[in-house]
Amino acid sequence: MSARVHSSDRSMRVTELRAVRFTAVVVAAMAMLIAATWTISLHPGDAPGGYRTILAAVLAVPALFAFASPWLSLRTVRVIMATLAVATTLLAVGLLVGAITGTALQDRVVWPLSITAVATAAALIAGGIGWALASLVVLTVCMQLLRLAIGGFDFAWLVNDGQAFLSAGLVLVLVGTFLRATRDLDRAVTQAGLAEERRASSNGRRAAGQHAQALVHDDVLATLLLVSQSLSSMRGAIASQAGRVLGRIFALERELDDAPVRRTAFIGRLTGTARRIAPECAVDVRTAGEDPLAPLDAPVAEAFAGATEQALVNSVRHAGDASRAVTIEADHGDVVVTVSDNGAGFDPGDVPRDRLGISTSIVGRMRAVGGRASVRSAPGRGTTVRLEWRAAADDDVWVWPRDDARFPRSARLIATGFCVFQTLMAVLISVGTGAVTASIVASAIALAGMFAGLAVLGWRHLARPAAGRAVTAAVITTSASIIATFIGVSAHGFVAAWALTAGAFVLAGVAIRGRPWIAVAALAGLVAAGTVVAVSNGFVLAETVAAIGRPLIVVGVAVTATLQLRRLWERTLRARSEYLATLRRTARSQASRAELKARAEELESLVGPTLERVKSGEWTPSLFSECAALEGQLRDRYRGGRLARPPLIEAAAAARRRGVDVVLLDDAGGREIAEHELDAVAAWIAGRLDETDEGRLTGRLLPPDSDSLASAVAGDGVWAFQH
Amino acid sequence: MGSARVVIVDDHDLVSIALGEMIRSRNDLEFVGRAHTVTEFRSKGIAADVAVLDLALGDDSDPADNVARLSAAGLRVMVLTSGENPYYIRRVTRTDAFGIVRKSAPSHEILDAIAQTARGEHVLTTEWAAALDADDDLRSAPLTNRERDVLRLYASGLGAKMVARQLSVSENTIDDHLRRIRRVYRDIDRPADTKVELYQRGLEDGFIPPPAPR
Repeated sequence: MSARVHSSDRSMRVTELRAVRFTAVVVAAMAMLIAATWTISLHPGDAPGGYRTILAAVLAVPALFAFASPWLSLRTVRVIMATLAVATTLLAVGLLVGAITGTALQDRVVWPLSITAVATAAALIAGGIGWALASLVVLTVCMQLLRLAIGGFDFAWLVNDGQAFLSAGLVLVLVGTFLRATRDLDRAVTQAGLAEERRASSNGRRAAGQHAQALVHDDVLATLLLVSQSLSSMRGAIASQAGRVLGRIFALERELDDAPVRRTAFIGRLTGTARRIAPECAVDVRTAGEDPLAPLDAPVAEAFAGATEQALVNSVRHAGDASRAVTIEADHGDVVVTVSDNGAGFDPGDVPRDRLGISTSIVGRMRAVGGRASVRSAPGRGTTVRLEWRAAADDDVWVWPRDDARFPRSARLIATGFCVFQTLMAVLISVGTGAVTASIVASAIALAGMFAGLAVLGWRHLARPAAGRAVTAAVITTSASIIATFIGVSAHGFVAAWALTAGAFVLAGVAIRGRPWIAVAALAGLVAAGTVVAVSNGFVLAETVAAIGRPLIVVGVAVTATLQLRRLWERTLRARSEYLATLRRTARSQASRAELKARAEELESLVGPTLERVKSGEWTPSLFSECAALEGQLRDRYRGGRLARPPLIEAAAAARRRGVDVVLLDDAGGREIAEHELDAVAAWIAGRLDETDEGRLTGRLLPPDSDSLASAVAGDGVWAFQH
Repeated sequence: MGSARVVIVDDHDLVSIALGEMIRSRNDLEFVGRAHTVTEFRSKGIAADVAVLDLALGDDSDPADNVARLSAAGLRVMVLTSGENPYYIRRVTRTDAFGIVRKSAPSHEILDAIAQTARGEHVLTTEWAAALDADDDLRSAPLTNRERDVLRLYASGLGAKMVARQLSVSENTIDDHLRRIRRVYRDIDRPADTKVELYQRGLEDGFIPPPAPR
């Protein structure tokens, strides 16, 4: 069973599906991690009995389902993510309600903030950026209210919350852009696929049409003419021919052999041709790589074969004694065949086009299959004919991220917001907690490191920074963050770890800009420092996780998104060419087959019965005029062009049966004539025909420079068409 | 003067045989052989004066090429067409062929055309005139209005006598006009590109067949 491409699955959603599944699993992992942390860190006294179970359920259950994403459909994954997002949001609201109504909760509610990113990412996958933003706002508001309800205002916590908000925002942008990028990739491939399909279909239809037309002209017309023109002694032979022609018509659908040609067979055929026509010719075959090369479509192989043969024949004829060479280059996408000789050459500018000997068979063949042919020659310099064909149109390759105009804008927004926020936070935390020297210094250092890192990195455009520059930015920022944390921890406790997150944001920038591994290395430094700070200062596990987890998540998501996107893009490009090639082959052979079938049916109904009578050998007198009429009708469809339409077709057939020789010519090529005018002309000529009983009548659509549209000429006069 | 020796080059055996039979019925013509392609004819070594050449030989050979090769071998060429697309016909009009005749024309017309070719006279047919008349290159050629009228009338299907009568001149005058038309046509300076854009030209000239009527 051949692979049919249905209109419903014409879109290639592979990339987006892969991306969504991957992201969902990552989100699930984060959720599980956090659930585990809470469950471990919460002392029994901290929360009411069923609380831990509820927590676990809210996060862990959807997360477990999400781990199955690689085997689930897009919709299912989205539903699971939506559940996770909604549940998390409800949890937050529930906490808030609980706090307001007085159900006892300690002020150790660090942890809900850490899940902001998880919830936002889940909402993003489920419903896109809009829903993600909504969930971010709701959660943030809840957390603030919760905090107020529990313990009142606290600058330190404000900073922490600010960091959480920014982290979530960054994750949102990153993942959102990542998903959008995959969707754009898919869309670009689908578009290319549609275009390729259209082109292949029309090529297939045209090839089939030409093939059918050739059959008509070759055999059908000849047979019909023979009946009317020949001696009775030839009747038997003509009857056999009619039988053969009928057989060809019935088999027309299967006549176009579309099996792809293996490259080795293709090269073998070309070298064989060269040896046959010009045995002394040097043949040079260059193929790239060891992998078996994708087979060529049959029509392409045919085009090359015919064009090469013609070029060689020309060379032998015009430059007989010269030495000639054929070069065949075939690699994954392209085939280039060059036929060159060092003969007398000619000046293409001197010679009338049609005397060049580069007949339509060379240029026309290559063009018909989507390739090109060119000739270079100069007197005394020999002649080179170059035939080339490319597997796919490379001009619609989508390049990311340089062409994605949206990313810079939202990135700039985030970056600006981040800078402003961090500065604000730094000021607040220093001033708000009493302007302790340590805290001011820590804030100053953290900010300095952050701005310096950004300055070194540059944020004008998304070009990939030089390695040295990236390392410098990373080192500056990381060391500043670590130092600031160590200094500030004495003043604020674990909240001083905000500096680590600030540094992490800059590292995320490094990763996105194309230096993921440098970011990871620096991240290791941040994490190590954070661990040291946490251990030596006795942070609770939850606080440690918050301090270290946020930088981890921020840089982790950035690095993963960048790497994954690059991988997906490469994989998509590869899949795309195979997809396009298959699409092309399928579309072409489907279109060919359909066209041939239609033409065959049409021919059968038109000439079948008559040919059967010819084949039978029982020729009645009416058969002769019938054959003449049919021959004329088929001829008219080709040469008569737009004149071959209802009132005229019947009138011509009837006239031919009466013995009139009817000739219809469409010589108005390029002239636009409205349908109603054509109908009027046809009716007019038909009228003339009805009045003609013998001799010949020639009806002609006149060339564009005539006063009249058409003329009708019979033995006794000329008539011009009047409206 | 003896009868002219005629060879038929056509890829359909029956067509060649039938035509050969028709030629045998004339005194001034002698059927000497047939071949499927020009190459086959050359290899057979048949001696002939006139070649009747099928426009579409089915071997993807260029009709103009075929005419050139036959002419080079010393034969006068007459081309038979089934009603091909105008592009191929036009290619032949620019060669040394003496005429282009429809296969579906009445037998006596075909035979007369062969005889004319044998005598070295150009055969004037509607197909030939129509091909020239619709040729864009002729627009800017130095032809007089009268000459264009002559061509247009022939292209529309009138015969020699009728054209003369229509224009109220003698047939000799018409012949002069035709000779001049032929000469101008042959000498037209056709723009040639360094890159051979024959396909483009073929599109304009009707190389791409019109869509099949439904």
